Amino acid sequence: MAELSDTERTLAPPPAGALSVQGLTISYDSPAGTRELVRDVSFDIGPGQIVCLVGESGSGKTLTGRAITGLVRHSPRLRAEGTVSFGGRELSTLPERELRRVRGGQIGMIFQDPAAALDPVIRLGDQIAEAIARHGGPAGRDSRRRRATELLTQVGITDPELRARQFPHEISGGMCQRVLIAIALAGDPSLLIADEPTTALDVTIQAQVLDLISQLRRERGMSVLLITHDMGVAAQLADQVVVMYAGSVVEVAPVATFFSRPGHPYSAGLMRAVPRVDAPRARRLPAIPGTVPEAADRPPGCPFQTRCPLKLEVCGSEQPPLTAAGQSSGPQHLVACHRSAELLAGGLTVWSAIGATS
Amino acid sequence: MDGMDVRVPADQVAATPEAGADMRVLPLILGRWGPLGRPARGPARRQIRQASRVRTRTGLIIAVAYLVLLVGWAIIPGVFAGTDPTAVNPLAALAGPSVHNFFGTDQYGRSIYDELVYGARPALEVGVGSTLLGGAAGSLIGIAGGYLGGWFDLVVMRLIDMLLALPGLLLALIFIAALPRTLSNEIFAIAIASVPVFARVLRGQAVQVRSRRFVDAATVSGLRRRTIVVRHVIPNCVAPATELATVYVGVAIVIAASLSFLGLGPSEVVPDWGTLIQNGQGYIDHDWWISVFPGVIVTLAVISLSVLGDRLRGALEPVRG
Amino acid sequence: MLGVVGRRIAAGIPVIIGVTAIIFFVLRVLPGNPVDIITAGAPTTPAERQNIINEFGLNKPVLAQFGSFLWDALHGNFGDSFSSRLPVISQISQQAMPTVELAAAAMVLTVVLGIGLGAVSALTYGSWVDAAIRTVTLLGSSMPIILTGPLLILLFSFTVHLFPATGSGSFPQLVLPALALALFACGVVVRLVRGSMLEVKNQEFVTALRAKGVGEARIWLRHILRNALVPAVTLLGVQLGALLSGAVVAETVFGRQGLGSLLVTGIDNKDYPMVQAIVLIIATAYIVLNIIVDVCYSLLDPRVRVQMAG
Repeated sequence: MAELSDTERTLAPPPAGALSVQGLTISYDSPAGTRELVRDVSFDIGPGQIVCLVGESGSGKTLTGRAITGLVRHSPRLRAEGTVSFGGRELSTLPERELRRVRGGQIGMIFQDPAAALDPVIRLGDQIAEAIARHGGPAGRDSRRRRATELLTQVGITDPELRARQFPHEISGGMCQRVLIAIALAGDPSLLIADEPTTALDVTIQAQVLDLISQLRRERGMSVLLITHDMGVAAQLADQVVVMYAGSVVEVAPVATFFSRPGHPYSAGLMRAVPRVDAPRARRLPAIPGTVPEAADRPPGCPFQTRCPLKLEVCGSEQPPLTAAGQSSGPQHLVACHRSAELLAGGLTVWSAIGATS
Repeated sequence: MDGMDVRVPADQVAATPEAGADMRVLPLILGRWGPLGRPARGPARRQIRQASRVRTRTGLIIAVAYLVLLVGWAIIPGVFAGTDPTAVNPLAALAGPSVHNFFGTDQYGRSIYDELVYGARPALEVGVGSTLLGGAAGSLIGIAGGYLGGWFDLVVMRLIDMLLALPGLLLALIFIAALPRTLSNEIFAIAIASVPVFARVLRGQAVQVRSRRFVDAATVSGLRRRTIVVRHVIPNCVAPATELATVYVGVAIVIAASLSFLGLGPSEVVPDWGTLIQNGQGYIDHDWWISVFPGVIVTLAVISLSVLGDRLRGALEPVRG
Repeated sequence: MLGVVGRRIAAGIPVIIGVTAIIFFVLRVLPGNPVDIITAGAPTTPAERQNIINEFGLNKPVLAQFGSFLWDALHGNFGDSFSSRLPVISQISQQAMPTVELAAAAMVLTVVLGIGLGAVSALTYGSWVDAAIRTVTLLGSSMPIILTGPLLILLFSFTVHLFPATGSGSFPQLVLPALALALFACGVVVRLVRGSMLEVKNQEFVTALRAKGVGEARIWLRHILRNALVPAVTLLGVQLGALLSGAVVAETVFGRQGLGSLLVTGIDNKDYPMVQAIVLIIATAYIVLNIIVDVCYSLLDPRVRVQMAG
């Protein structure tokens, strides 16, 4: 992996940041049988695309993110199956040594609690330098230090020499997240996996971090898998939205389509649940009744059936596959619902039926 | 938070000794994995878990049985051994372990086994006596300091620091130096050595308890300080205090044996475990049993008390919410 | 950094004075007439007794005696031994070396064994190596020196003639006593380092390190171990104290003529100045060691430096 100069980088075609996840299933064995935490998840990320993986806690989105780079291997109770292709290579069968080179190199990752994701006893500059050294950086401590300072500047940190000498507990959460992004950038990644990067941060800092991610995508042609439960974040950044519920993908759609015409009852329910400034006052917030079932309690068939107002007989026995939603929505709109055609064709009446039960 | 082990049910997590820790690291370091995951090892792991649970219960039973035996030796030595352990019998001198003398004989022909049995009482008297005395005093001081805070706590802390600057044996040694060599004085000396240990641990516990919300709730609801201490603080301190006390009995027995070994033990006590070990020192090359068996008896007592202490603490700990 | 050290030293001084006071007053206030001790019970004339009283300053009020003791001690004068009538300090300096050697060797060995075995134990979690280490250290920390010592002597001096059993002054003579002490003291450290490493490995930053592509070996040695040492260091301070008092016993077990045996004879003869001086020296050494441990602790964990400065 030669290091491209800045000129070479802008002139050359964008690096292959294309990711394809097919049939990812993560399970664990319990005395009562095998439980699937993530079931048959498939989605693609094109080069330079921002895909938001959306879902609530327990949907399996974090696990999916970690499985892509093989971090699930380090948890002995979990088992992962399926394929993950990245930049033409099959990651799922790569030996650990090779995969380690991809991790932090072509695929960078940042996490939800930035302060906790940094080693508390080592200076920030050294932690960045560690990533630089690991991924083909210059030999020699001084050049690595200079590169680390460069990276800090690229992520918008002022006075980088000072920051590099500091420890994680001496800086704010927002700055920690920037440092983590700098670390992720050290390997010149073509894909960035961001697992709830703003959840632990204040709203104003949130905006800054999201802007930074967006800017980096523009400048570097990097694709991004942004895992979040915040619809606002998805609306702001995503090119495409992948919705997960209880371990399965229920909808895949371009962002505009998703927010205007969601094809799955769950997505529609989520839309309804977002409080709106222009809604009439003194109205109860519509919520989706019920809770996400535990892995052990998932029924056969569609995972959403227990809370779905549009449930049919067939939903209890057959899990709906991800199928194209129809010509009107375009080829990239996929929905896993037996009644999606009705939903999309129907009008407000069908929408109102969903989520109005509260 | 969505983590790696989230949604793994509680029974799975609780059963393994350290949650998520059952992982072979060396293969990881060597980078020897292929597909995205590895086959889980359900059945094998379950067996290991069950085996260790059985093993620890057996451990407790053995520990308690041993301690009961020692108590038996202390209370009714005549049942376990002959009548006069100090009887000299030159004909049987320096004989190895045998059916007649389980642990062999010393240079005077005395049975080591008999001497050990009769030595149990002074050992336990010192061990239990000094622990009760010092433990009670230290705990009270510690809880008072921890809960009351303020200048009282400061004074207590300074005092504890000073006493702790003389590690273990040394503090007892000063008192041994100053006092006549009797068993009660030895108990007193070792008790003093235990006071700072208990005081520090209990103070820490009391401070922790004081900062818990239910204490605030009790104070706000108008309960008198004394009531709060008795009804809330003390019960929460019982578990660590009990474990510490049980373990400290072992420590005290070792200190007492070491003192006798050094020739600084109570002069009136014969036979004495520490003196036995000291006695056998010169014979260690050929007649090792004279020193080794008493040492083993003491060690087993220490181990049993540790095991018991650990279990007691587990049993006494208030259920965590 | 200097500020932290200075503050610790300043805090240590009242403790030393307090300890000295405890030692001094306990020996004075409790029963036993010093004059009789000094004369070892031999018949004396009143004039002789008065001489002794004057010589040892026994007629002054106790507080004054304490004051002059402190003053003299600061100048290195710990008084004269009741038994030998010679300055205590000269006997101490003659016999100090074996103790210093033993203490230093045992401390180094404890740290090395404690951290090393603890790390190995954590890395081989669940295997027989782990179980073996835990069993050996459990036994070691449960066995008193008065058993470990003779056993080591039996094994390595008499069964296999590797090391000498007694005496001091040469390196081979240092091995068995230092090993006996270290085996006893390192048990707790091994358990703590092991437990600490197993806890740290579950923390979020370890996952982040893996996501960074850092190799497992480096993660364990540079990151996990380093973080795990933080709580272990404070424990080491306590264990060093156990080592110091254990050295007293070890000297008798291994026939080393050091401060320990000097202390024991002093107690036997009720030689208070000797006892006072040695106990004071050991206590001071312990306090100094703890200051060093505190400094190491703040070096290891940068989060603590802020607390310590405040």
